[in-house]
Amino acid sequence: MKKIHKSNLLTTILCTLIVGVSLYFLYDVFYFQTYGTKTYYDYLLSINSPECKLSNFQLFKDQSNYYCGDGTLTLGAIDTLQIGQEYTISFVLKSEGKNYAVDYPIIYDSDCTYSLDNNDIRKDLKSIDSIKLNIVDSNNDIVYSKKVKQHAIQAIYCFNKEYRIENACISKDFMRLGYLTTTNEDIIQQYPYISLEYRYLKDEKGDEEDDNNYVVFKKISGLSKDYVNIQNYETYEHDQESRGSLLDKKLSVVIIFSNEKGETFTFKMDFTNEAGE
Amino acid sequence: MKKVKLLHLKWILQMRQVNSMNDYLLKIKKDFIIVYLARNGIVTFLIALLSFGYDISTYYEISFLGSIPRIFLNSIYTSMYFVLVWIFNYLIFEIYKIIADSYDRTEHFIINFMFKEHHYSIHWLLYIMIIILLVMVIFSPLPSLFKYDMILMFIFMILRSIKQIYKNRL
Repeated sequence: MKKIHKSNLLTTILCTLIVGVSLYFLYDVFYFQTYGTKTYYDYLLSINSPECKLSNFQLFKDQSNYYCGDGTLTLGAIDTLQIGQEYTISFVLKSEGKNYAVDYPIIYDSDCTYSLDNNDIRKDLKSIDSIKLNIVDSNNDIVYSKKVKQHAIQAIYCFNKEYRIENACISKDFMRLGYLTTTNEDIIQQYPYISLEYRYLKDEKGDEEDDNNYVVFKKISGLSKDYVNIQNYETYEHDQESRGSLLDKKLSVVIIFSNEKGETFTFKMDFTNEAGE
Repeated sequence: MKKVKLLHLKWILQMRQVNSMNDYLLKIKKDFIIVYLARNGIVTFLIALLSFGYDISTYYEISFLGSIPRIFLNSIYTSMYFVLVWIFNYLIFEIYKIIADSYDRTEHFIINFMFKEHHYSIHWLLYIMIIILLVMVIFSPLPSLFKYDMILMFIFMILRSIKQIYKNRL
């Protein structure tokens, strides 16, 4: 090998080593920035009818997690069902033209609430087109059927040093309000009454400190012991067509604790898209 | 007299056309030379683009074309890493060229044969080394992005050495 070739080779190898070492040390940052977690779907399922109420049932899949369930189903008086009989609640998930069932066996009783646990038998489905709820009797006949409403949701977070709204999420026309948790448990004895006012900013350019610049879309009042550190989920259906998408709104909540003496403790917290501790 | 003047004018116009044609051809030739000189840079860029595009499209289950904005518009770190991989490819190819060209001048590990009145020489050790490296890369725990990139680079190296066999025939 000629001398000039040797020096060229050495210079190129040196440059390659520098670039190679940079590639090695920057790989983690590159991977983190490039390959984010892919969420296949995230739905909150609901049925709101007098004879059947489904709430808090989540259907979620990303590259490493899957949930299907963790909700409750309340069945009212349904003519086609007989009290004391065994039935199967079957969620029929339609994916790519095929139907897949997720079953929960129950014994029917009027006005009974059933807890639907997490069930991962359909975790391989990568998309969900529509969902139907069927109640099937022991002869495999469908005795009740209802279309399930799917809300494509995203998680939102709301917290300060002592208080946090857990498991809140929104879609364009729906919000699961979450529930209040606190590290200060004395607040329940000190202030037995609570009021939570969920609101959004009316005019984004307006004064954020002005209370008249907010639309209160949901107000919850009750005993502190029923709403603090208790998984008591409530939902809100939003009229997207006349009021615009909830996803574009700046959401916040005003929490008012009060007692019999007329003393109050009020504070507000903003909802954000970023989780924090 | 008028006719002579007209003919003269026509001749001038024709000459101008020929000159502009020559300029045009010269420009094309220059452009071609630039592309020819930059051919290794262009091919190593395409190799990096194919590897990134394929890896990202497999990960997100999207089309190859859909993955391209994710390389250049998603994050500055992704774009920067792409450029680094491109430079890395170029440097690896330069090292290969220097080694292969020096090796072409030696008389060891050669297969000589005649084909259609031409004498060809194949330095077979080079191919064996490339194939061994290729197998090592495929079975190594390297991230898939680098595996695709290296496989394409080895294919490019083999194509270049085949071109050299044709070029150096006697």
